[in-house]
Amino acid sequence: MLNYILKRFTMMLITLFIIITATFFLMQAIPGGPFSFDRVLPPSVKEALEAKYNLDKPVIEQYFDYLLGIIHFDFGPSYVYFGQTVNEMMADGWPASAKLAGAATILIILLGLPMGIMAALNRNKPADRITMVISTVGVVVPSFVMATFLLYFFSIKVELLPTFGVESYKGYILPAVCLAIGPVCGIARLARSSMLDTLSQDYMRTAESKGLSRSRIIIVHGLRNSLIPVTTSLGMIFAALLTGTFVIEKIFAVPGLGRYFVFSITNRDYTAVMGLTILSSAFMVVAVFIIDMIYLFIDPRIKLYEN
Amino acid sequence: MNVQPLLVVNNLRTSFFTFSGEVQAVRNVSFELVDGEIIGIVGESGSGKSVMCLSVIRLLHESGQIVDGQILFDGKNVLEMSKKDLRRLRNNQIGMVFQEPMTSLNPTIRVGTQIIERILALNKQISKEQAREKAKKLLEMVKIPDAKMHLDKYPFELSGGMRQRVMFAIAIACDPRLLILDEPTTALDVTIQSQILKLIRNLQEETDASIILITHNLGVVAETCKRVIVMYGGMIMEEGLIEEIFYETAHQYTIGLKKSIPDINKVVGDRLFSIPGSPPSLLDPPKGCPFYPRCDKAMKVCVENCPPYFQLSPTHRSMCWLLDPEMPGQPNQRGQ
Amino acid sequence: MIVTQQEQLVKDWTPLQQEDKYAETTTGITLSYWQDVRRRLFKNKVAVASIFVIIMIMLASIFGPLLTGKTYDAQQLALRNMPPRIEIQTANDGTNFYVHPDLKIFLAEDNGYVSEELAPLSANLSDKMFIFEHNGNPYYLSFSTDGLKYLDENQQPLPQRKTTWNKNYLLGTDSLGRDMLTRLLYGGRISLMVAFIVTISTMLIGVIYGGISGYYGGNTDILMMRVVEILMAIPSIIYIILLMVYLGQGVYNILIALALTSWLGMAQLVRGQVLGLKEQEFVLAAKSAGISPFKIILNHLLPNSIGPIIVSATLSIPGAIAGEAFMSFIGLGVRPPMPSWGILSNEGINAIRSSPYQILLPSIAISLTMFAFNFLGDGLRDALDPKLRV
Repeated sequence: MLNYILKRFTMMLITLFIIITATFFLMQAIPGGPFSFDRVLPPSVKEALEAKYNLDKPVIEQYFDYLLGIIHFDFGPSYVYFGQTVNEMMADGWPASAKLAGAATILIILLGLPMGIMAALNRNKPADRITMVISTVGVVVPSFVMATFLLYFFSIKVELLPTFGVESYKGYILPAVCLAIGPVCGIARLARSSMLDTLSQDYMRTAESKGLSRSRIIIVHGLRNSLIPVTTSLGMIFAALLTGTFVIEKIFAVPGLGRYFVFSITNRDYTAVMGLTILSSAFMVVAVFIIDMIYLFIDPRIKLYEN
Repeated sequence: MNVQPLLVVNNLRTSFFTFSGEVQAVRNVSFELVDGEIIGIVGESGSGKSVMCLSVIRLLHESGQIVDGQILFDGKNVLEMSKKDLRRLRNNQIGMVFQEPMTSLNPTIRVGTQIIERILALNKQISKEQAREKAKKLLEMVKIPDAKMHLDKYPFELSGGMRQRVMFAIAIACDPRLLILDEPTTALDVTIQSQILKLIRNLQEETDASIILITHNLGVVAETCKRVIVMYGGMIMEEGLIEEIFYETAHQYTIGLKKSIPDINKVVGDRLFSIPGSPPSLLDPPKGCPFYPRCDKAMKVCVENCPPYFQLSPTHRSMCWLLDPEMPGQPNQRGQ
Repeated sequence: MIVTQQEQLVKDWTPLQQEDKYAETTTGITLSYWQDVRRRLFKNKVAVASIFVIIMIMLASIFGPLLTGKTYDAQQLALRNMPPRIEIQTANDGTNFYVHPDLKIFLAEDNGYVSEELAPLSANLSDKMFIFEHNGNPYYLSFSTDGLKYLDENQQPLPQRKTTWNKNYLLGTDSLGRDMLTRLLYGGRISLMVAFIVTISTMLIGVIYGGISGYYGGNTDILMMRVVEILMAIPSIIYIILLMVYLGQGVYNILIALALTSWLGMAQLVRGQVLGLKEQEFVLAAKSAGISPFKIILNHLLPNSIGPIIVSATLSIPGAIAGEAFMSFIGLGVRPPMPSWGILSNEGINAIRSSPYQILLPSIAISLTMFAFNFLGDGLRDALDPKLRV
């Protein structure tokens, strides 16, 4: 078992390292550098700026400087908002994004999972069919398209929720829902098919033949095994959440990291783009690692496979 | 008989309703079982033997339905039982062992827990420790070494034979009056098979339960059962004591089954015997005797009409027109 | 049935000849695999409807922009933000007016065609009125807080009002006065083209990579799959964003970025298929006949795994459409003024209150297309599944 944890942890570190390196060199490769875009700077000013930001040093040195900075959690200064560091930008945008992501995650678990399981238990009955139709829609339509529809209906036609901003908690409802719809429906479909699969297994018949109560059969025997494929997909669900935030935050003007990311890209703020990319990737990679650990608890066969 | 039979099945009909139509898996089956009997049900795949036993505890797949008939367990009507009573029946009175030990145990739950949960299910008085102790004793009863350690193992850590033993332990956990064993050895090695059969005989002596042993292997039945039911095409072809079935065989199908048992004395190079043809379609079962297409003594009457049961002794009956006293020509053929 | 004693039964004891026993029932005409696939697919009504929808969308995208008579970048600022359904006011003498959201008046015909603009004579800002003149009559446009009102010469509200379809621009105009219909259709061209090209290159790269990895097995396979696993650990959006920042905006760049990041799943799929098929006997036969590995992959392994490959490709088209739309939406995809559905969404979101049609139209287009490809992919998957063969 320790083997498994160590292997996964090492993978995580390697992946992070590759991301940081790739991001850095990709940014370096952009022709012209950060100070030649959009602004017309006199050469002497440009040189001074570049010296200030150590851009005149050899690339490798810059790379190691950057690495060192990352280990100390310093992502460098912003190239666009002079005087502000990327760290400050992150700290500024972090709370809103966290609230949004948190709300979405709660929705996903509390709504998606039961939806799928209920559908499986009521196979082919109306409850199941309706759930399937809704979840197909939720999975197919991209989150920002869904956002525009929902925004139109709930904010304009029916003046129920604010169009943008997060002054009140109401401001979080629509973006959280839009963010969560795709994953909720995805989890619902997955939970349903996984549960149906489990229900058809031989050991479910054995459990019934023992005369156990219906709830025990479903929860202890059925649910436990159904959750395994669902957990595996959690990684992808997180990825969807992550990428969704960029667009959703922009549409609903939520002052979070996603919006900062889009701004930085549009304004070619390279250190910010790098920093935010690394941050989001780090989230993903850590999330996957945590999921791998959860897996260990749910499926005892892991110990078998890893030997 | 002055002893009330433990299990009475009357005119049972079970069908599966599929897209293609109604598959009549069990067509008008009747038999009885008393306390302490070991009865074998023999037949090939599709004969209806498993479905019949699943019907007894109403454990059919969702497309399956008991269309007609009566099932009485200890005098109580199983088909009209409430869900609660049915659960109690399954929990306390009837234990079942399935064919596939590899998939019949939940892979994510420890073996001991799977035994204990049966003990704790409807028994409020027993404590967890007591249940655990009982589970350990059950594992010892099914001859699993180092029972205490095995309680905490997962199914994937056990071999096929061991898993099947665990299934037995689960089945006898509540001292059932009836054990239904659905081809318990089919998925196992032949060497393990004989061990399991020995286990079955031991269990019967120790627990005094009635046993229904389902198999397609006549040899297995010869070793363990007192009475035999031969099924084909969803119906009972022949029923009798083990000696009657083997030495006074009264049905062509049974004769064919006997011939199919490989003879260790046969000369190397001889072909193995098999009954030509294949089982009938249960979507559109034949009107007459289900076995007639594969029977070399079939007559025109066999096509049109299904024969009645002819009683050859108080314990021996067979469904075959050859036994009809009206039949002209040679006297009843038996034993060949 | 069990016969009772009472029934009079004629029993025919003649022995049965072999021929009289009913023959083993044939299961009907057997179809080949592909015939069966086609049959199952066309039985699926949703999939057939989807095929129809896709063909319509493709035809509209290819020929549509040529037929509208307008281009995607011609601006008519005077008529910007004109919705697909407009309100025409009729004056007492039969003149029709259209009031533009920018508070300009145009002459219009009965059927909704808007012609020339009327310049206001004067403005009475304290009373919040513009005064226009036509055919000698003065008309008033009041824009007080209780809405726009047209008043005739006696300052009474004009009687007739009707809503008609916009005949100048069938789907309205955007914020720069460009024809929405043409932009939508042309955007379809771009979005679909990106989706198809990306999918084809995904197939090519994925099939080659996965085929090689699966065929050679051993350490080659382990190494190649490790690479794929590491690359898959990071959400592709991040790569795409980085690539687009590096490459800059533009259609071809978004094509490259999307193609470079979406082949991973296909590679894994193909590798799995090849690994499974490799062990089968017909491959062994081909090998022992001395056929080159390349030919084996091409002629034996691929045709047998083509089913899941097709399904995966069909289901990745919506992903590519969404990917392009997403990137254009955040400003990293296609470069304006070239339209794509993502660009249209990006431009439309700002006007969601005032001109919601500007964002709703591309959203509907995207949704419809994605549904169609999704249902088609599902239908293909069901049709190709050998387990569902009857």
